[in-house]
Amino acid sequence: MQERIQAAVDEVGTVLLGKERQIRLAICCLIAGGHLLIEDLPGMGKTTLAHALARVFGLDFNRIQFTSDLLPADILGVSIFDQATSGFSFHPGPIFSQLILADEINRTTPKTQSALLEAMEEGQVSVEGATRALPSPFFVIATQNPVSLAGTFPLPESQLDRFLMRIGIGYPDPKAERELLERGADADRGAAVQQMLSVDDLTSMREQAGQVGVSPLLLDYLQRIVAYTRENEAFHFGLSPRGSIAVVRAARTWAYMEGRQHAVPEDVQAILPAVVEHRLRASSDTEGRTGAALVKRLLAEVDVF
Amino acid sequence: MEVQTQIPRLTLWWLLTALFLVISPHLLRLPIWISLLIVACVVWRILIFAGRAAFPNKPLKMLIVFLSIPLTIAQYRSLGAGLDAAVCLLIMGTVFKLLEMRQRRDMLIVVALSYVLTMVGFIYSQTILASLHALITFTVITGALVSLQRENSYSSFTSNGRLAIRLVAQSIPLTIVLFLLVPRVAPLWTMPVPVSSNKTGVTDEMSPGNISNLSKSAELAFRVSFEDATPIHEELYWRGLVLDYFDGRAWRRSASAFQSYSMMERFQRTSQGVRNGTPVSYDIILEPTQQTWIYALPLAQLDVSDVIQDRNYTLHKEKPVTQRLRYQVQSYLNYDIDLELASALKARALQLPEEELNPRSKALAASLRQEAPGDRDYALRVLRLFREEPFFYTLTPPALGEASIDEFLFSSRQGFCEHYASSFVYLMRAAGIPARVVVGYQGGEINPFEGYTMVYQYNAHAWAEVWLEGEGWVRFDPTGAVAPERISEGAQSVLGNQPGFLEDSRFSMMRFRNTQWLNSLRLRLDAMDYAWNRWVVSYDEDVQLQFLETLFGEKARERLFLALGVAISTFFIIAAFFLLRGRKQKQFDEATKYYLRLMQDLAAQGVGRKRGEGPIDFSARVAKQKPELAAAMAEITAIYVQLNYGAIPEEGQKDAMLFARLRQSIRILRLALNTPIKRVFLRVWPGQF
Repeated sequence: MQERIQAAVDEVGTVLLGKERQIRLAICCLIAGGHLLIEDLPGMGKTTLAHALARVFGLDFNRIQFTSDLLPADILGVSIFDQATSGFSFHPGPIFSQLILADEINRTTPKTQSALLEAMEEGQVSVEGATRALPSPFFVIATQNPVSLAGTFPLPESQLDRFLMRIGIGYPDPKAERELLERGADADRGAAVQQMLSVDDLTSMREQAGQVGVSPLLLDYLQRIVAYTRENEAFHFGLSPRGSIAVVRAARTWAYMEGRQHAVPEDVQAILPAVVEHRLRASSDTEGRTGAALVKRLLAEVDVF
Repeated sequence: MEVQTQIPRLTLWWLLTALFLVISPHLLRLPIWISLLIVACVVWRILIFAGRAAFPNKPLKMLIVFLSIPLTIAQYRSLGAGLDAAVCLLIMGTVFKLLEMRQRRDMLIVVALSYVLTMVGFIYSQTILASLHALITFTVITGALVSLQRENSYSSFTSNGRLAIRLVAQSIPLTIVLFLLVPRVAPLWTMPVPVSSNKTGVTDEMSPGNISNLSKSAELAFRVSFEDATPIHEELYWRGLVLDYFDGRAWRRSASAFQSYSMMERFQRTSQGVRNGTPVSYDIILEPTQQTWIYALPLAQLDVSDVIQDRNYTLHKEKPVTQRLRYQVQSYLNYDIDLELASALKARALQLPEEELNPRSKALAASLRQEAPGDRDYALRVLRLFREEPFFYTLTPPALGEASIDEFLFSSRQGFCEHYASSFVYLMRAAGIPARVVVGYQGGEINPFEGYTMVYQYNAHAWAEVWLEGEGWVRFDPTGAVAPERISEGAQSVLGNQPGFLEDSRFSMMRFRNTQWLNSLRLRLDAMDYAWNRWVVSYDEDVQLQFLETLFGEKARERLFLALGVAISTFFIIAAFFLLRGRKQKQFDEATKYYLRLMQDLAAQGVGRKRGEGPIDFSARVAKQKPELAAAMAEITAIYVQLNYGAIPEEGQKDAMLFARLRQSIRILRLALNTPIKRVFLRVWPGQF
């Protein structure tokens, strides 16, 4: 199975050059069944990555461009009077899809954001009194632009917490960029990605990843990390239990992707930035930009043994 | 992890202010080029902060350091003072550290050095002003420390300042208790003493001009507080030294073996003079003189272990007075000394230069002696001569040639006390009457606020003592014959309007003593300083013992030592308990113990595991840095990971086979890594090392 995952990573790598680590993290997030937040500047390949992920897993895919005038009904769907049946019939919105790309999620109003986030948490939506289940699996890949915040509604911590991982993409290295330039503009690169895995694969992978062993020693290490975030005064607040559960889940999946039957400290360290950066904030920070530095500190200062 | 390299602005300003306060009292004393260097370093530091200059690179730093050491030594060698040079180097070191500081650690060093330098300041000055300055400096340094330790977001100038003030204020009561109670243990090393090159004061040589020089100075010589009423001004003859050898120009102490302290001690006279009437008791705080003799009214009686009285009834200390000295004296102003004069002393008191330079004076002495019926009459006759002939008391007498006595008595007739004392004693000796010059201070100014007497350098004086049959040594002051108000009212009332008076103390408040409020301010300040000296600075071992005995009764010191010892050790035990309780030694499982021992060995080899480095990452790094260890390390790591992170073992038992393998592999690798000696230990006690 690991070879197939590697093949999927390579496949996505054909459109997002030189970003294997980010791709692996994104796939890890999907296998672990979590939602993904991609945060980077415009034009870095956020949408490309999301699109390619949808293709490689063969998921049906909807993209919602969030704007400030988007209403909850625009994503959830509305009931419209049908003259033929003389009754209201529900027209599902774009959220009824296995993978949603919520582009520029911080551009819309908190009302719409919370409609989406509720759906993420519950796996179902309530429209006009009726509860409707969302397809399974259900993933949300949200993107946002960390700069030019004018006119945006930054997600509060409680909502950031719903995302298993937050990753950035970063500039490509010169070699990858040269290759990109030589290839020429290709409008729909994501569409060229072949399906490598199926929804069934995803389900079985998730199952197997859940069986990866986590030894007491590793949990000790994790608890040291959590305790450090809660006790050190540099942290505005500590990691929540939901956060620590997320770390274990992601570490298991990562170990599984690495072909191990048990998680090791390196697995925790590999996923730690993506999983906890957006859940931490320095005491001195009011904008939530310091998570990365704090995680570096965690990695350097918490003793593995 | 990249440490924050930019020093916060607030911290830097705190530090710079602290450093300014610390160094400013030293600046005047330091050579000018060092002051310039300090200013340059500080400006450079600010430019670095502003991003307009780079940090000095290594060669430049080396150059500065290696240049400054020989320059300092060259600067101070001529003065011969090790302490000044050391302080200078310390200051430069601090400033250099300021220049190159990048990290929190560096700033901590600068802060610590600032604290030390503040204490160093007390070597030079212990006045109340210096103490206030030190207190403020401490507060600012503490502020710097606070702003250094705090997260930036909590830091503001006022909050840091407030916290620093609170910290310092809280420490003051403890400081006072410690000051009062902690035993004063004399240092095991000798404390170097700063040498002031321009120290003024009475010396052991008197030649025309050197006492009048002292009248240019308004520096304090000593302060006296009398237990009862202050004697009248005319009685205040503070005897210092007896000068009984005249070489035709200058008066000195006669060269004799008895000048050494040990000889004086051995031949201390059993006879202490005849004391009549009730003594005056007083307490003197002498400013440092760098000389061994000390001042008192005659006939003094002291009970201080290292002060003895020589046969001239002057007081000598074993070591020079390098710090303020406080001593209590009882003086019998009505006294008789040396009613019988030993022949050796008599000969000494009649000595005159062999080469006769002053024939006219000698002739005058002979004729006057013939007119007078007795020795005392002759002395009074000479005083009358000074009074009736046109002699003048002046600070700026004309220079005298070879025949100084003749010239003074017959032509210039203008002189200061040394001229009168010198010629008076000469005339006595020329007439065959034993006589000698005494130098010291005369008079003093009473501080109206505290009632003590201040004696300044301009009170320096020279007078004569004449030995009369049946009366012993009797004091004669020829200056009093010329300028009686010098003796009855003081130097400032006679000399105040003369050019040259207090010339060296241009900025002294003494110059403004005619302005009422300034004068009273001066006196108040002096009273404060005196109280400070009396109660704080002179609080030494003896005073402490007295104080403790009044508090705790007999054997106070022993009891206090015991109590303090118990209290301090209890405090530390409790503190240690609370500090150590939090960090209980972590319990490792067996495999990790072995693994960590291996880590120690590897660290000794230069590949230490970082704190947050997992075993697999570490193994990869070792393979990269030490390829020869790669295979062994990979095997150990694989086993270790399998053991500790692998399938969850059954309760209480690890995979014994794997554990044995791990132990074996680690042992082999460690044997290869270790030194032969440690290898032996490893072989003998494999479980312990």
